[in-house]
Amino acid sequence: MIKIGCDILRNMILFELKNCINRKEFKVVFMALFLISISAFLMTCYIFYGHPLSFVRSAYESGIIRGNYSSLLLNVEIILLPVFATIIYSDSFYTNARLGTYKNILTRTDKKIYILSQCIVIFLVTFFTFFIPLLINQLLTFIVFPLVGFDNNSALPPFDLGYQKEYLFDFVRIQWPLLYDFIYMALDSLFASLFALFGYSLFFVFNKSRVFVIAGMFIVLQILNFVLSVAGYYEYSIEQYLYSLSKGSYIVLVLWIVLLLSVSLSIIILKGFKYEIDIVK
Amino acid sequence: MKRYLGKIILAILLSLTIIIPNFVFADYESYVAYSLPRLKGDNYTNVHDKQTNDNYIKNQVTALDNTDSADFWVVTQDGTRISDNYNQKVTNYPITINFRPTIHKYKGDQIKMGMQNARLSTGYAFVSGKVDFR
Repeated sequence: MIKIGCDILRNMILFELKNCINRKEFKVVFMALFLISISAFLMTCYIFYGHPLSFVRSAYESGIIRGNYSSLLLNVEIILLPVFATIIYSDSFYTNARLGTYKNILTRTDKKIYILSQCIVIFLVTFFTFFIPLLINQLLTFIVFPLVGFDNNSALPPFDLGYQKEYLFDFVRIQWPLLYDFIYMALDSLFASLFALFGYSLFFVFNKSRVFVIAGMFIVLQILNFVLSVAGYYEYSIEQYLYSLSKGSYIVLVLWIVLLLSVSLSIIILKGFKYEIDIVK
Repeated sequence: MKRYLGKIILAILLSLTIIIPNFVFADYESYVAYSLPRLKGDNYTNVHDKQTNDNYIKNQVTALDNTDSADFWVVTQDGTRISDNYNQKVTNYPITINFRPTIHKYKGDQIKMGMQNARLSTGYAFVSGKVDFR
């Protein structure tokens, strides 16, 4: 019985994965993120082209995660992260319910399995949609920039590592610079997945308009960041944990992850599993 | 003792030639709560005359409000950029910002330091520190 359930779930995941990857929204978002990554790489190359080696920084510090010149592009990506993340596939249930395909799917599978498979696909696809372009940028910088830079982003002399324990993962930055870049790539992608899942759950509550949920989530997050910044508590905002070289607390980071995940799953279990087709008109 | 007096005086004089320039030209100017405008807007210090032929300036950030780091660079009086961007946190020692390799600035040339928030923030941030334009 369990084996049959697993088979159905696996088939549903594959089915949803195929649907998601064939969607226009996924292709547009992936291309946008890919363009941001490539532009960041080209911008850094343009700045350092012709510089003597003593003024060239290491590949770890020239990628999009830590690059000084391409930081504007990463900033834009992070600010638009909730929008990009929810556009990909978060509205799938809402769209299926509107178009009526929801009914056809439910004649062949259990509603819980259907929703669960969508959650898994949304989480994984969003994660890799963000992670792969960031990874490509990092790989490209390895081709062009040296592993050891004679200059660095902070203008520090070679004997000074600039270690400050208030900054998150700062010891990792010194010991394993590549791991540090990977941690932030993964964190950005993870929060994108969490936003996507949160957006998916919101569609069970606000089912009147697609734009309302996507734009609403973006505006609420921006207001939250602004209020925390004005109040002097910017270290507690989500944005703080998406940028490298940031101060912060590991506990707050874990709390944000747990909060977003638990709220999303609670709404999905309490609202989504009991959702009725006729409610959507 | 008399034999060594001349050598001792010479040694002291030589030592002073090494030590004195570091004090004479260490002419730091403080800046307090300079604003780092929202959305990565730029801000600049006043224009200063260079006191030496050194192709660098020294800048120390002593406090940052509402951000964790700020970017600094050097421009000429007319706004031409003469150094790369450097990201600085709060430190208890000054950081050397070198000019670009093809740039040479001499005593009397006018330069100023640019700064911006390292992030695209919707709120203002502030930076305090001291800078020696050399």
